[in-house]
Amino acid sequence: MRNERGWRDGRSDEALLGAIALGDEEAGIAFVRRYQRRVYGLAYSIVGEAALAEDVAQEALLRAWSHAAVYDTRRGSVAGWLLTITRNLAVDTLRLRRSLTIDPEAMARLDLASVESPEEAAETDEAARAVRSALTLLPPEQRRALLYAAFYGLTAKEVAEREAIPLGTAKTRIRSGLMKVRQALSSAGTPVGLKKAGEE
Amino acid sequence: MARLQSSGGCEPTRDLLFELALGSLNGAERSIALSHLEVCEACRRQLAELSGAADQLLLGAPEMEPPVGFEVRLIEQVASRSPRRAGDRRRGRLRKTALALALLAGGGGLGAGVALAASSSQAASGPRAVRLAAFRVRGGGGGVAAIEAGRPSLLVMRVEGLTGSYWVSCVLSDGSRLATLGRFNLSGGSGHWSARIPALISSSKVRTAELLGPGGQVLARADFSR
Ligand SMILES: [Zn+2]
Repeated sequence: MRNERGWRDGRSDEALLGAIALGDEEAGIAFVRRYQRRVYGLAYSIVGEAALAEDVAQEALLRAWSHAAVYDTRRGSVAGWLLTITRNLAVDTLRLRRSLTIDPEAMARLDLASVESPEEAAETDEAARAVRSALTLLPPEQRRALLYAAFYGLTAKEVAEREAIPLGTAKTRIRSGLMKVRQALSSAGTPVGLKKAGEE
Repeated sequence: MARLQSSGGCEPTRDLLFELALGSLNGAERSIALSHLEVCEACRRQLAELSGAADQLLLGAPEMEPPVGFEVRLIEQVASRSPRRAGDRRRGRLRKTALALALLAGGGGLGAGVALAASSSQAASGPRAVRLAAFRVRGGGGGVAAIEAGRPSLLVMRVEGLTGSYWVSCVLSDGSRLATLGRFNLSGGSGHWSARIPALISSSKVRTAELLGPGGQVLARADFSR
């Protein structure tokens, strides 16, 4: 069942995008199968509502599909590119609906996701695990500030307001949070973070 | 000093790179940072590193199974957004057919056979209309069904998360029900299956396809009329 999804196509992400750019629709579908759970999961974590999350996820995958030809391999991983598209669409969607309303439950899910359980660990791949274990290295208030900025696109000023802390403190939390995550991921080896971080 | 500030030197920019990498820098600060980055290689490198980490953070979000029918709806959007030249409806339809077949065949296994059968009949009878419907089985599992109009018309199913023996039938627009279109066995949890729709029945009259358990109970309906 689940194991059939996505990974059956052994081509790399870059190869799939290249094929999509040439009009190979099976490659497009393989790409969708490979990433739909991630894209939908991220969209849902941010917008906190199934119908809205589906709209965001569909739009993100459609954009990746139609922009496959202009994807620049020097710009980092395909997953990072696709998830950034997803994140931006989700944040735009939230901002369009009044000011930014963050569903506290969705935030809790993200926060919880950084503390992995063994069953979860079996399901997610190395890159996701590396990120999660890097996040567990942060003090909770730093992690929160970083997640607000990274997932919900909140500016330092908005984080300060939300957490009722001075602007300088918000900036420091975001920066040290990102620095620590970056160190944890790069000390784990590859710059794209395909190895587990935070164990040595 | 003041001049440096307004054009954005390394010092003020380094401070802004974090938020820029996280995608949460707006307004004047954003333009200060961007104009400095235009001319400073060192800050560009720093930004690239931070952006890499920021992008990777997004990988940490929990994965979730999208709602049933997600792929079908996506494929319909891909087909409808494809660049269409004037008067080229036929091409749009072919494209939708190709996408639907790719969707149904995407998992390997029986898929190759399905695609082969479909493309050979396609060659014989030209472009075919495809209708898609998703279905969900209570208690888990589901899939996608497609009706391809043509000679012969085909009902194609892709199922996931099911094990055992199943019958497939369909209900026509006048409410009558075919006794059966066929049956299949699944052991691996997922696969593809296809059957000819009897030539006496116009495929446009098929309203729903039904998945039946061994006792004849209806487990799921794929509704093409929606
Ligand atoms: Zn500089």
